[in-house]
Formats: sequence, structure tokens, C-alpha cells
Amino acid sequence: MTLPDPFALAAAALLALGFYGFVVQRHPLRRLLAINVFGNGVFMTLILVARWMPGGPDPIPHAMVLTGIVIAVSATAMGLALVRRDLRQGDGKDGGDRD
Amino acid sequence: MILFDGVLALLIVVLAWRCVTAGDLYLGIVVFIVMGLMLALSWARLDAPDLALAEAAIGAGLLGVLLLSTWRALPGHRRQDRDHPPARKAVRWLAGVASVAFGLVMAALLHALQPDEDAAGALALGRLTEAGVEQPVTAVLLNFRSYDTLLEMGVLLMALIGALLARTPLAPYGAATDDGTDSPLIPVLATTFTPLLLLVGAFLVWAGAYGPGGAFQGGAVLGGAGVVLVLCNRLQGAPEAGILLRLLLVLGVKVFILAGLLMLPLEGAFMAYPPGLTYPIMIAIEFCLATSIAVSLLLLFTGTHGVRVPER
Repeated sequence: MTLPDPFALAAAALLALGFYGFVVQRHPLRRLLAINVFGNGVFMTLILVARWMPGGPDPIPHAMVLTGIVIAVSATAMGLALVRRDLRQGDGKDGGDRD
Repeated sequence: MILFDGVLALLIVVLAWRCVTAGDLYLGIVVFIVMGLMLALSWARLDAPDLALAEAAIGAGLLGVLLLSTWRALPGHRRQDRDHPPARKAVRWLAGVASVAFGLVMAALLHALQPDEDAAGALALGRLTEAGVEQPVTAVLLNFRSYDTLLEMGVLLMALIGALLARTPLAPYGAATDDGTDSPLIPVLATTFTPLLLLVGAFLVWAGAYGPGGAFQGGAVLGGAGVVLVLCNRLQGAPEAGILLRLLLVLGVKVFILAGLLMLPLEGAFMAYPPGLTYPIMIAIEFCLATSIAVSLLLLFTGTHGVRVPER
């Protein structure tokens, strides 16, 4: 029985915390944060898988994570645009851009 | 080093916990950014320097800027949880138990899984000399699995279009106009750091051929230079996109498709490049991708269709 890799435990914890945050929190920005925490757990899992390949880290999971990071940012930016629109509707004023 | 790894992993878990449960939303966002940087550090430890760069530049840097600017744009009373209280106690407990179980199963699986001998990566590494670039991740992204990267650029473009459509009916979000912009630090930031950022960004794109770096990391840094200029009021959002900006936005996708199509009669397959020309084609595609990524990320930040130099 070998000791578990601390980063494997961290990856599992990120997945669990992301899931918990997404279920429990109701504020849309917090939900986006939770989704990103979950995504980071997935990325960490893939990076760990990449290390198993003999002869160096496997470039294919690495490329997938790189793609994933960009897609996650794109999707989050789209989500943020929707949040801004949704949360400002019904306020009847346009006071959002300034403090 | 095991101690360092353990502390780093523990730090990531604690930060993630604070990020999803922080009482203040602003605190949650800041903790998320710090967590991104710690993740970048841990990925550098896990033999993934490319991904560490990407996470630091995109996942922590640009995403952090986007989150903070959205938080700032929310009306004051929407920044707190009053309208969106966390779920009831019973639901919280249930979710807690379910996530602990889920986390334990994932940890056990990650510990028990055995490496696969015929990973596709072995094939990729074995044929690296045919890719035209020395860096395996760049080779996979731009050559072996270039189709994925092309579609990824499409997703980035679609997200930008979607975000712009969602925001258009509202007042366009221009440059910061508060008192912070006449601080004496601003000219230094704009004139000293922007050229350096541009240089670092271009270097990262170039370095992608033989070391850690690449179009995405470099493009994110270039986009970050644009964000600095917007924050310093040297650039501002414009309601209309000029023809040049539109061309830059689609440059990556266009050059990628063109390179794939033009070589079709020579090589007989979409996105197959002739052996002698692979390296120049890779570099050209990489710089075009980086330009498009930089402009897309900048426009996602400003939330406007274009950018222009403000009149003085």
C-alpha cells in the first residue's frame, strides 16, 4: 500500500468542493466560481493521468487541459455576460458601472 | 519535496473551500485567483510547465479580471447573497455528504487506476520529428490534433459573439472612469509595463516551438497588455468594431483553415502539411492564433464590439 499522491487527494477535493458549491450556493457568480473549481479538479486529474505514461508526461492530456482552460474561460465569460444582464434587469436604472 | 507538495496540495484544498463558502463574494473571487496561482505552481511541480503558464495567465489572470469587473458592474445590493441565499440547511447537509462521498470515490479511483501502456501520447512522442516543432504539447495542439484546436478557436469566437449579444442592450462598458485613473502610477504602468508585456507575450508564442509557451499563453499575455491599457484609459471600448479588428478576430480561424485547405491538393488530406514546410506553417499559425486570442480576450473584458484610442 503506497501513500496517496497529495495532488491526487487535492484533485478529488477540488471536484467535491466544486460540486458542493454548485449545489449549495444560489448566487450566479458563486455558481460560476464553483463550476470553475470543479473544472480545475478535472484539469488536475488529467495532469496526474499524463504523468503515468512511461517516458515523460503524455502530451495529449496536456493539450486537452490547455484546450479546456481556454474553453472554460470562454464559457465563464459568456456566463458572466449573462449574469450582468440578468442581475441588472428589473433595477430600472443603469447605475452598475460605477460604485 | 514531499513536504512542499503536501503543503501546496493542502493550501489548494483550503483555498477551494474558502472560495466556495466565503461569506463575502468579493473575498470568494480573490481567493479563487489565489487558488489559480497555487494551481499553476502545483502544475509546474507535476511536469506541466505549459499548463502552469496557461493557468497563471488565463485561469487566474484574465478570468480573475473578468470576475472582478463583473462584480464591480453589479449594483451594490446584488453583490451580496440577500437575493440569492444559500440553500436550506437540510440541502446543505445532503450536498455535503454527497460531495464527501464523491470526493472519496474519486480519490480512491485516482489512487487505484493503473497506467495504460498504449497511451496515444507514446505515439505522439514517437513521431515528434514529423511535427515540425520540438515541443510535444504544441505539436499535439497544432499538428496531430489540430482539428481540436481549430474548433476551440471557433468556441472562443462564439463565446465572444454570445457575450456581446447578451450585453449589447445595456450601456456599453467603457474604461474605468473613477478617480483611480489619475494616479501617478498609471503613466508608469502604461508606458513601462505594456511594452514589456507585449515582448513577453510575443516571446511566449515564439518559445512554444521548442519550450514551455505557445499561442494560448502568449495570446493571453498580449490580451493582458490590452487590459492594462484599458484600465489605464489608453484604450477604451467602442460600440463599433472596425474592419481591422474584425479581421484580427477571425485571423486565427481563417489562417488555420486556409493552411489546411491549401495543402489539400499537395498532401491529400485536410490539415496535412508537407514535411519541408511544417515549421514555417506552424509558426505562422501560432502567431495568427495568438493575435486572435489576444483580441478576443480583450473584447471579452471590455464587453464592447471594438476598442479605440480615447480622444484627448
